[in-house]
Amino acid sequence: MSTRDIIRKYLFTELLQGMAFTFKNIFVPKVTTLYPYESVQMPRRARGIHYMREKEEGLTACTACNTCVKACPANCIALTKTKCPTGKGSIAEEYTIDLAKCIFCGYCSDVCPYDAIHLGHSLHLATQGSRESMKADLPFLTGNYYTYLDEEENDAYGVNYGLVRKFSDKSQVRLQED
Amino acid sequence: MGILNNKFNPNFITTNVDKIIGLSRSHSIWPLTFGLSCCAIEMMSAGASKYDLDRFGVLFRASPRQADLLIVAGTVNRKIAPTVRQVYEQMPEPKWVIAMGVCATSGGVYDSYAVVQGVDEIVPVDVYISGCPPRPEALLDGIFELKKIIETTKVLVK
Amino acid sequence: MFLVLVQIITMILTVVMAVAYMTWMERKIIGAIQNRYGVKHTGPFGLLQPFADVLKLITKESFSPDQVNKPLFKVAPLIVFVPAILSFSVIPFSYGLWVSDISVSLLFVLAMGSLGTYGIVFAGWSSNSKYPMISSLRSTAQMISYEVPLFLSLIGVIILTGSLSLKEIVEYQNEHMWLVFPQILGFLLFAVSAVAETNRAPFDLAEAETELVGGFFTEYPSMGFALFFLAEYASMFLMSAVAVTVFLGGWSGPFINHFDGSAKVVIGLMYFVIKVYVLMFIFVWLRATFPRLRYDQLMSFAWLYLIPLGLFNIILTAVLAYIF
Repeated sequence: MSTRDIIRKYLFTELLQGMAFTFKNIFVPKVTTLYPYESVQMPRRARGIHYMREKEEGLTACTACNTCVKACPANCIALTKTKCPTGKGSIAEEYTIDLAKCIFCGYCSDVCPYDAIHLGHSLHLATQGSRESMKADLPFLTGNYYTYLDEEENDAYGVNYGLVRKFSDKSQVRLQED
Repeated sequence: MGILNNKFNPNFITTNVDKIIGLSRSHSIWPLTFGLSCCAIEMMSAGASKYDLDRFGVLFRASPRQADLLIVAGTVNRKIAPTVRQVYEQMPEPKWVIAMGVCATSGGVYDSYAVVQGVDEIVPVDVYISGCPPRPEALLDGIFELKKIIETTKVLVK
Repeated sequence: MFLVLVQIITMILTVVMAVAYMTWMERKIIGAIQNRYGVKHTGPFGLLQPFADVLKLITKESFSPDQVNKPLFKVAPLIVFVPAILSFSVIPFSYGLWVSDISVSLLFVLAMGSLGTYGIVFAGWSSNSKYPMISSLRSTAQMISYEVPLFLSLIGVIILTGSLSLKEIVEYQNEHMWLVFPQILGFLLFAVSAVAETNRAPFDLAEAETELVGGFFTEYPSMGFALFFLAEYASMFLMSAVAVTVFLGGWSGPFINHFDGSAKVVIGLMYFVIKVYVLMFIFVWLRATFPRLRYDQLMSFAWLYLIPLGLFNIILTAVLAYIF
């Protein structure tokens, strides 16, 4: 064995190299995000709590066609249909997503023909109430829509969170009738 | 606290002692590592360096006799359900339970004969966290809700 | 009589506070090595965390499971904790600052260290369940195997200084040089055996979370667990203090002989504390760096490497002391 091998075997140089590496790590800047005081920016397309688009003030874009109900793998959407007060066609009167069952897959938003239900990027999902209090109903979802509409911030990749405004205009142009 | 539990009228001393006990319990929560499936990865990532749980005094213990919080993270099958109950009963009072993820909250997407539809059919749950899997920030939010519950629990006062 | 009582109480309080804050220091240092903050939000810099832990453990329900052997179960944490604290009474913290001075104090400290093994045997055996029993048997075998190189490494020191009393060893080092320079092999042997003797990483197979659910204290509720935990840190402190006293010069240091009276006491205490905390930092550093050894690797390391090295050290020291 060469001298180098002997030194390595009896003086345990690899152990000392490991210890030197760990020691240097004390002086490296910390990577922690101090959560309640700072937060990580989610990408624009992250799938969080849903929002429901409104065509005009007080008139939701959902026509209760039941496509999202059939597409949902977890069977967590419940809705009721009623006649649209202005113009022809139907509109949803109650629309509830049970967030205790939803797996945030985004299928409801992918199949919706009227671009009504979408997934936002908020993640605040903890509650100390009962399971029944974890249902997101229509006023809550519509409120989320207006929150995103006024959003001016960009995500970590520079994409504006409030892109929902442009998106909704495009779908208004595409669909001529209900 | 045994025989002293909830026996005293609220006055200056007992309410302040309650406050001190509540604060010290909420700053030193020791969960039991009970990761069952994918939500366990998010729990590990909440304990790792980026979203550090050790900042809040949370120290994961391996034995149920020394833990005071049970984080049920993952799908509870019928086969593991008696074990969840046994581990819950081995923990000393006072104890809390967090149901993390939709599978522990309500069975989630698995509406089947082999999955228990929500762990609150087996143990009483204090905080529910939704998400599949919930991000580490959501788990931290759940722990803050639990800290609020712990700080306002009455220990000595009636 | 009254003075002795005050000395004893001061020593016990100081040691218990230092051990409680050692838990804080460990969490902060391991956090820093892992690029994160340790405890941060409990008081400024997390300094009130040991108080929060202790208050929480006091207010938890304290029970003993049905199947245990009650007398042994209750007495086991005390058998581990009391000798560790008791050994601090013979260590010279500074010039003239010790609780008692017996002429065989080094032997007393080592004997107290061996008594701790009984507590672990009782804990594992009385718990009457498989994981604690396996863990306590492994831990006992580990502790008695590593006591042999521990003692052998100290024999070189005894040959050079000619006395077993810790006070006289420190005074010898004050006149001549620190004993780490002639006895470097003894110091390394003592350091490695001390880490193994206190069940610390990388030799902490007895309390490994991934192998044995909790180790020998799985069935212990709040206060029993707290006593085991504190006893481990107290024996870590004790091993550092003995290593500092015997090899690194105790309270002696550069320029201490120019002072006199109470200034000498204060400066000696400062040197002692700094050296002990450097060694404690090394204990925590070892824990954060290395994975743990497997059981057969651990035992073969003791019997096939450390004991022959210890014997070689004694022979070498004796021959060189005879020649010079």
